[in-house]
Formats: sequence, C-alpha cells, structure tokens
Amino acid sequence: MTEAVLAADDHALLKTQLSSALRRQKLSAFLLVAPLLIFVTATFIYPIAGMLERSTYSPEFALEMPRTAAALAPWDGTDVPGDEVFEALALDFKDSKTRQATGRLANLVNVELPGARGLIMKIGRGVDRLQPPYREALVALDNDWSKPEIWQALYGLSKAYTSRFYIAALDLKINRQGEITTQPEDKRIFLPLFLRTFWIGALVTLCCLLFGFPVAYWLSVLPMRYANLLMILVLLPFWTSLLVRTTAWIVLLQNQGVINSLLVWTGAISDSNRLSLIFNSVGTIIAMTHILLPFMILPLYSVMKTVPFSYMRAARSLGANQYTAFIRVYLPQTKPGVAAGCLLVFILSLGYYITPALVGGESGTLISNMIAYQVQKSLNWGLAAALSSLLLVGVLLLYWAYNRLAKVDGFKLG
Amino acid sequence: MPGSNELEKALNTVKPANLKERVQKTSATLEDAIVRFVNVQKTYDSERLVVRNLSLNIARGEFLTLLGPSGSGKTTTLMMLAGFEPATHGEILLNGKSINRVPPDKRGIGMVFQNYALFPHMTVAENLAFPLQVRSMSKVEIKKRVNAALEMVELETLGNRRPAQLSGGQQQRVAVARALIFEPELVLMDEPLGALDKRLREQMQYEIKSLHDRLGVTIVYVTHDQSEALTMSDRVAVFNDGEIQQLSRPADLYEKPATAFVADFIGENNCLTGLLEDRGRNGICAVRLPNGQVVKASQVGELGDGNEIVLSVRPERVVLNPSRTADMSTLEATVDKLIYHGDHVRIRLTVAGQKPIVVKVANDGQGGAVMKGDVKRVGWLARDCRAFKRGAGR
Ligand SMILES: Nc1ncnc2c1ncn2[C@@H]1O[C@H](COP(=O)(O)OP(=O)(O)O)[C@@H](O)[C@H]1O
Ligand SMILES: [Mg+2]
Repeated sequence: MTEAVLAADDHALLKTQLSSALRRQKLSAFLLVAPLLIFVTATFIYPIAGMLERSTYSPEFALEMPRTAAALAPWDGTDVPGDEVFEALALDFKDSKTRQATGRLANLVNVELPGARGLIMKIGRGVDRLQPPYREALVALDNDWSKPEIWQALYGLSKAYTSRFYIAALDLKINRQGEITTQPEDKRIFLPLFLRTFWIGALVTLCCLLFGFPVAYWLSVLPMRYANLLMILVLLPFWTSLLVRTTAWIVLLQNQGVINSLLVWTGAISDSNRLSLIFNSVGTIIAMTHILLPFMILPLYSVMKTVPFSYMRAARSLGANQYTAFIRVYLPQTKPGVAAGCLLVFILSLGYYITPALVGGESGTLISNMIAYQVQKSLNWGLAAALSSLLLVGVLLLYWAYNRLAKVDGFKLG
Repeated sequence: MPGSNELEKALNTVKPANLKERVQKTSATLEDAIVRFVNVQKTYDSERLVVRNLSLNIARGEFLTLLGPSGSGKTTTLMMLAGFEPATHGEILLNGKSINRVPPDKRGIGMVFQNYALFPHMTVAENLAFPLQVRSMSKVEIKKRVNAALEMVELETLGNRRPAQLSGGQQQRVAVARALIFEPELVLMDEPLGALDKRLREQMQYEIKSLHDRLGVTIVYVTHDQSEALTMSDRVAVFNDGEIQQLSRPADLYEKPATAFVADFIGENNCLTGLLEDRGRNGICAVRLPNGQVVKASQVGELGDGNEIVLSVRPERVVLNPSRTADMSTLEATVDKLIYHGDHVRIRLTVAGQKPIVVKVANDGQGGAVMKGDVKRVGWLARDCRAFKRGAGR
C-alpha cells in the first residue's frame, strides 16, 4: 500500500480540496435555510425583541423634558427635590408649550399617577406667567407640587431605561420612601388576572385530557377505516373558523340558548333560575376546551399508536385484571403523549384571546385580554409589553420544567 | 412423564381424519391431560376457518410444540388457550374444567411473547415483581422470589436495569423468568426465540429446555423453525392451514411422516409422483412412475387403487450405485449439478422425467468421481420411501 502514503505537498492540496468541498456544501445548506431564517427573524424574533425592549425602554419623557430629566437624575427619590429641579421643569414647560406637547406630556404623566393630567394641563395654561423663584410659583399654582407623589412619578418617567412597567405589571409600587412595596389588596389587578389565566388554563387542560384520552385511545385501537373517519371528525374543528365555533357556543349556552331551554323544557331547572353558562369563566372553559381538544388528542394518539397490544396481554396473562393492567401498564406508557398534550394545550390556553373576549364576560377574561386593552384602549404599550414578557417567561419556565421532568423519565419534546 | 406413554401411543397412531374418535378413544387415559381442546374452531371474519376442528390433549409436564408455516393458525391456537381470543366453536378444558368463559388473568397461565413484552417503564426486578404484586403477595416474599428468579436466569446483578438496557438474550431470559415466577402449571411461548441470532437461539433453546426439565412445568411452544421443534419437544403438532397434520414424537415426525405435507415440511425431501400399481402386502406397495418403471414404497394411510401417489424419500437415504437386493428400487438418473457443502456433496439428478432429486453423499475426498452429465443408477430401500395419497393433507 505504498501508493496510499502521501507526500507533504499532496497533504496540503488534499486539505484545500476538502475544505473547499465542505465550504460549498455549507453554503448550499445555508442558502436552503436562508428563506426560513429571514422569515423567522422578521416575523418572530424581531417583534419579540421589540416587545422586550419596549417593556424596559421608555425615552419619551426624557426627550420632551431634557432639563428636568437631567436635574432629577441625582435625586434620591425621597420627599421633594431641590429648587434647581423646579427651575428645570418650568423652563422645559415653556419649551414644550411652543411645541404644543403639553397634552402628550399630561397623558404620559397621567398613566404613572392617575389624576395628574389636570396638574400638568394647569401648568400648560399658566406657564407664560411663571416667574422665578419657580418653586413658590409652582406651589402657588397647585399645592400638589409640594408633595412627593408627583415628583416620584416624574422621576420614574425621567429615566429612559426603567423597571416601572414591570413593577406595575407585578402589582407593586414605589412608596414615599422610594422602596418597592406591594399594592394594597383591592388595587391589585394583574396578579389576580395572571392567577386566573393559569387556573383556567389548568382547568381547560384537565378537561381536554379527560375528554381527549378516551377518544385518542379509541382512535388507536379502531381498525384503520373507522379510525380515519373518526380522525376527520376530530380534525373538523380545525377547518372551521374560530369565530364561528365560538359564536356557536354563544347560541348553545346563552340564557335563552339551546341548553338552558332544553333543561327548562325537561324540567331539570325552573325557568327563573336558568344556568349562567356563558359570559363568565364557565363559558371560557367550555369553549376553550372544545377548541383546544385536537391539540390534546393528536399527541396522545400518536403515542398510543406506538404502544404494542402485547403489553396489555402480557399484563393480563400475569394475572392483572383489565383495570390494573390499564393503570399499571398502559397508562404509564402514554405518559409522553399526556405530557406533550397537556403542555401544548396549557401553553396555548395561556395566550388565548378571542374566545375569552367573546364568551368570557367579566369573570372569564384572561391576561391576554388585559394586554389587548393596554395596547388598544389605554395606550400603555410599555405595560402591555411588560405583561407579555412576564407571560413569555412563564411559558418558558413551564417548558424548562417539562424538559427537566422529561429527561428524568426518558422522553423529550423536540 | 409417568403414564403418558400409552397416551402418546394412542395419539400417534390416529390419523387427523378421525380426531373426534381419537378424543373419545383416549379419554380414559386422560386423567393427566392438563389441557384439552375439543373440536375447537376459530374464525376471525366468519368466512375462513383459521383453526378447523382442533382436538388436542396436552399431557401434564410435557413440552409440546406447535410447528407450522406462517399463517397456519399456531398463534391463534395459543391465544385461544391463553384467553385472548374466544373460540368460535368447541371447548377448551384446563385441568378438566372448561375455560371458555374464564378471563386470561384468572387462568393462571404463564406466557412468553415473541417481542418479550417486558414493560419498558419498569426495571427488571419490577417486571418480575408485577405478577406477584397483583396477587397481593407480601413485600418480603416478593423480594425473595424475585431474587430467586433472577438467580435462576443468571441475571442477579441486572435487577435495577430497564429492559431497554439489556441485550436480546437477557431480555428473553427476563421474559421467561417473569412467566415462571408465579409458578404456573402451564407456560405458553409464541416464537420466543424468533428475534435472536443463531448462536444465542441455540443457547436459549438449551436453557429453556433445562428449565422445563428442572421445574416440570407444562410448556406449549410455538415455532416455525423445525430444528427448534425437533430438538426441544416431547411431542410436536404440525399445523397446516388450521389443521393438525401430525402429532408425534420428533423422531417419528422425521422417520414416519403421516402426510406428504409433513414429509416435505420436516427436513429435506425428494418428491416423485406416480400411480398405484399394486397395494402389496405388509404395507409395501408398488407405484408406477410416468416413464413406466415400478418402484416399491411403504404405504402410508389408505391408498385407493389407481390413485395418484406422492413418493417421498430423504436425500440421505438415496443410495448412489446401489447393490441389487430384493427391496431396493433402482432408477437411472442423469447428473445435473454438484453442490459442494464441505462435509458432504449434494448431487442433483434428473430422473424418470420428473422434478430433479437430490442425493446427499459424504465427502470422501474423491470429488471427481461424479461429473455433470454422467448417467448413474440411484436407489433406495422400500422402507425409506413413503407413498402418500396425493392431495391428502396438502
Ligand atoms: N386478529 C386477527 N384478525 C383477523 N385475522 C387474523 C387475526 N390474527 C390472525 N389472523 C389470520 O389468521 C391466520 C392464522 O394466523 P396465526 O394464528 O397468527 O398464524 P401463525 O401464528 O401460525 O403464523 C392468518 O391467516 C392471519 O391472517
Ligand atoms: Mg404466529
């Protein structure tokens, strides 16, 4: 085999040939992936990055009121700041008046300190008459300027990078001493909503599992012909508009709807206490269970299909009755499907928006509806971004926990 | 197996045609039959009988093998015995009691499946403990038995492994141990060695057989591998098309096949066809080949006059250049091909215008003695050549 031994020159040549061949391979692989990569970056990664940025970065106030922002920077956040800050504020307002930005500023401050709109607009109207010393002039205009709340609000606004959206989203606040504390019970909005979202998500997941498991099992044992037919029935909801399905539930569940009428007609309930099945959390759970059911059935089915028949037979032959064999031998083997289905349904239900908006009423709305409200009505995009980011973190934590569990049990999603 | 010799004799001599009669005839000696199939039929689709009128008695402590080609109904028979498939007709008795309506978990029959069916989410020890747990045995007793079982199959150190972490042979042993751990009287095995390579299979055959000898359990074993059946079994039931063709000891199966199918299915076989010339005496008949020559053969079953006959003779019983004796039939044959096998040589010859026959000759180092195209004389003793009615038992 002497021919096979290469000289040093040949080695170098071989190396360059190999690397150029590999480079060509890598390039073509990259070109194949490129369209998807660009698409995912533009439609997924970029918006999420934008959302995360918006939840912490809010330069509007600092841009409108540069002097105030600079003067507030060294403030320790307690009591009322020094004269130089009052002066900076007055001068900034004189500037902003010429740009007709007072209204925008008032909105900005009002989000931080509800009711502060009047305070700002008052300055706007009286800014021309403001004379030094500004502290006395402002306090004369409105005594609120001698209280720390408005200054804390402005201080919060003055920083371009801020945690205030997260503080608000977690139902926390900054007190007079500049410390972060929890809101009083009656003022908490978002945490209860988060809790409700997770609670309803868990209930929907449980319902999907209870209904989906027998169907998936049936699908997996049925002869191919019938299984295909049943599969079409399972998938049918996928091919109908979400809106149609949701409104169909309104027709069925409302006070004068099919189910209530039927119950009254059969005498199960009296006409005066018809069940309230919709425009509350019950309605949300029913409609979402229906819509998310295929996401439970499909992973379950795909796992059940792979569990050989002989395991159950082996268990029976070893003396286990049908019930024991099912619980101890069949059920554990469907665990990957159960876990995947539950994770899928739970995560999807956390972000559900249209269905709770249509059938949820007061007690059935979820965090996503609040996010939509902050984006569309209250125009507090920073808070909306913070809420969304918290939801995202929650989902990622769940996924992490699932994978930890899965690793212990020897199965994995993706 | 005390007392089962009579039974065997009784069963061996009866032809499949009068199964019913056989059951009745032998029922007196059947006190020690652990399992009885009485006229059992099975159909899945109500059109085709997968098992036809099966009657079979299995003696206590015996190793019975169901042997047959794929699709001949072996698994179905086993599943009916285990209780996973209902018989559509007939009765199955275990220890004299009908078990047609007893669910599988109440039958107390151990079973080894082809893919072992070890529970993948349990360790080896948990797999072994399972049948004991469902019988509500105490923890201490379970532990003792599991350890004993692990020792029995020489896997003492692997109790904490999952089945997926074991080799095929080890999984096989666990499956056998699990089927035996609750001390069933009867163990069923459905092609348990099908997934193993040849060496391992031979070793496992030996181990299963020695377990059988040691524990004295009754084993019903399904295989399509004839050598496995011949080496392991006390008796073999050859299945074809849902019927038992022959139920005999392995040696009889090879030496005295009852039908042309069995002769062909067990071992190698040369087939010639002809017409019955003379029914003869002492079970030796004469058959006229299409080229007019007449050969002598042992008659199997009833052969009607002028019937078409299938002659069957094993390659190693065909003699090249035979000496002329009274019961030696000889024919002229042309050498068609020589196939070298190391220890022996197979010579393929065309004879009497029929399908070629094969002769097995020990390799004596004189390979050049026979050449392609040579015309040779071949022959066989009448007792080595068996004559069947054509079409009987396909
Ligand atoms: N569950 C079933 N449903 C319908 N037909 C079956 C079923 N199981 C087996 N069969 C048919 O019954 C025949 C005998 O099968 P089987 O008992 O498995 O044979 P073997 O084990 O000897 O290979 C085959 O033709 C097979 O197609
Ligand atoms: Mg089979």
